[in-house]
Amino acid sequence: MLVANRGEIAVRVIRACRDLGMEAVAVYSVPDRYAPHARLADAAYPLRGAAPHESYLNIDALIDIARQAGAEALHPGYGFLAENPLLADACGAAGIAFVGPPAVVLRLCGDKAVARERIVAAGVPVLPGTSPIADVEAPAAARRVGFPLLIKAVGGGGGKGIHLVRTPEDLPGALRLARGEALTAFGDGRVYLERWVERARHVEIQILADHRAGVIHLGERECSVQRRHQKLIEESPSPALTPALRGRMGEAAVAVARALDYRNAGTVEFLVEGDSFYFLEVNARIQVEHPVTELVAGLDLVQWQFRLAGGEPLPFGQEAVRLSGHALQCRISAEDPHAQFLPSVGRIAAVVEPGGPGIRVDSGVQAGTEVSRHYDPLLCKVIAWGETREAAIARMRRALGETVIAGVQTTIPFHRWAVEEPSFAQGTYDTRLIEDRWERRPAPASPPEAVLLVAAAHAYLRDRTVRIPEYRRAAPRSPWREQDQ
Amino acid sequence: MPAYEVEWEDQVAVVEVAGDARDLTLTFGGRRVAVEMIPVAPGHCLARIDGTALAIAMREDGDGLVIDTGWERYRLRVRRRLPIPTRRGTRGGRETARAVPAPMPGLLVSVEVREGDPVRAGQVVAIMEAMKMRMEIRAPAAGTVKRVHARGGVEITGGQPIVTLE
Repeated sequence: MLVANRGEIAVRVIRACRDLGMEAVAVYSVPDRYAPHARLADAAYPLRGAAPHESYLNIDALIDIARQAGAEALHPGYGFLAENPLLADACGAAGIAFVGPPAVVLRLCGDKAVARERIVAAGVPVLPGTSPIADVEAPAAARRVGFPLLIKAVGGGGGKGIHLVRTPEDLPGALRLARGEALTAFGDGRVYLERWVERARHVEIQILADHRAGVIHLGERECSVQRRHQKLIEESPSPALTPALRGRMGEAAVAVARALDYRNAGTVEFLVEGDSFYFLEVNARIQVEHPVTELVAGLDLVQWQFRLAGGEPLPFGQEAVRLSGHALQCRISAEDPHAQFLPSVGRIAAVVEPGGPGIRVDSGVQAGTEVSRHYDPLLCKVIAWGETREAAIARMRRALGETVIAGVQTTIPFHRWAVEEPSFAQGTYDTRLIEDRWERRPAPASPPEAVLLVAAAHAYLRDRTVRIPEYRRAAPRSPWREQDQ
Repeated sequence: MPAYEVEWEDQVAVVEVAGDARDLTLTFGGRRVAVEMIPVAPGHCLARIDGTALAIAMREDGDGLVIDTGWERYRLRVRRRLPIPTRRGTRGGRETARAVPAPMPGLLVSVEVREGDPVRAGQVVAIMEAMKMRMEIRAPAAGTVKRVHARGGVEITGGQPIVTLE
């Protein structure tokens, strides 16, 4: 199996290979030479350069390495080339099995406008929206859709190329920005408009589909904790769904999969507002948040991707799916939650991973890993399972307290806040949790006394270390001195 | 004992420190606190304060100190405090007068002793309020109150003597 990705998802796929007795081949860019995924694989081959277009987006180089390594299959992970039909085509031409939907399905899912028409025809509710539009017809189309609305790129995905427009006056400028971005990011400047729901919840359904039209769903994932349209916390089941709504959404997701002739593992995204739901898009890949479904469903989704890609039919139907307990995942990213989640680059100095009952860690970093500006800031994921939501949150609170990643700023402080936040604990939060609650939480009136004491102790130890040579020789190394190395 | 001024926004606390990393003794507002700094990872440590554990991340940023604990971040400035004369000249080589200073600027809520009162070591001599916290100012040693320099209800500056003991 050639693992055509990096970071935690490459590690995840390598682990699935091991569990199935398959050999895993990694590829690595120049900065990833000593990365965990390259180290864990049975073989590892270099890609030239650091920038994605030279390395993990280089289809020719990946196919060459697959041939050289004797790979029989290729797993694209998520992001990079995962939903690019050209990679699926290239694998087909080289006689390598592509672990994902066939190229024809990827093309259909990527062309949001065509997919949308098929899904409307299948009777699945969608938000008011348009087909791809020209600039001249945009103002009239926008009035029909209603404000606020989103401009979305036809070729987009993963939250990229999305612009929020609140008023008609903002439309021309946002349209120009969105087209420019879409052209640069996806090589396709077409955009369409879709109604935006301000206080909605983002809920998605995991599906598995075989080549004999067998389709099942594995319940939902609640993904409403987001910033910049990127998810930070996911959980399953969603605290917002009633059993009836869950049943209707599961059936709708299966209908979407059938309408698109979907194969392999995939995700159908919906917006939920009260008792109504609207189809958003299909993610034709394994997702970052797949572990929460694995823990409640008791299935290894990456192994199922392998089996479905190999032509194995699903051996069980919907009635055999048993979902048990509650799981949630916190994405630990190299971002500073105290500075609007700006990315933080640097070298990881040390990692302390949590453990114990009900805790799983999917990580792509170790001490020494360089967090570079070239790649996604996701470092690792902490996933907690419990028999109830309260038990899962308690385990997550415990795990976050144990986790240390030194050398870069991380989202851990935000997650520690979130698991204590009343609207999260009650399950009533929506997509505005970060804007409305985290960014506006009251500033402390003063530091705790302990912080003042620690600050003075630090200054004292620093002064002693500099001024008294005997102390410097005799004392254990101060952890603070290593910061700037 | 070296003293440090810990500054946060417009508030200043004075903390005296002695000992080494395994066994620090801090004096803050007349109270003695045992502090142990246990390294966890570069820039991360566990502070054990009178036995209570607190996980913190700390980094120097220019002349400031940034401390993360729980989900909050505090930007502080810490300066070595220049010694101020707290010892008066001894008379006859026997008696020592000793000022009890305010550990930080703030409101002197009350003075709990009068001139001529005998005090035990650790006895509360005054109450102060600063950084939204009330704290007791305690006598560093046993003695007699020789002078009361300030009265309750007034703002005083950090280091200003509240009472003098002998």
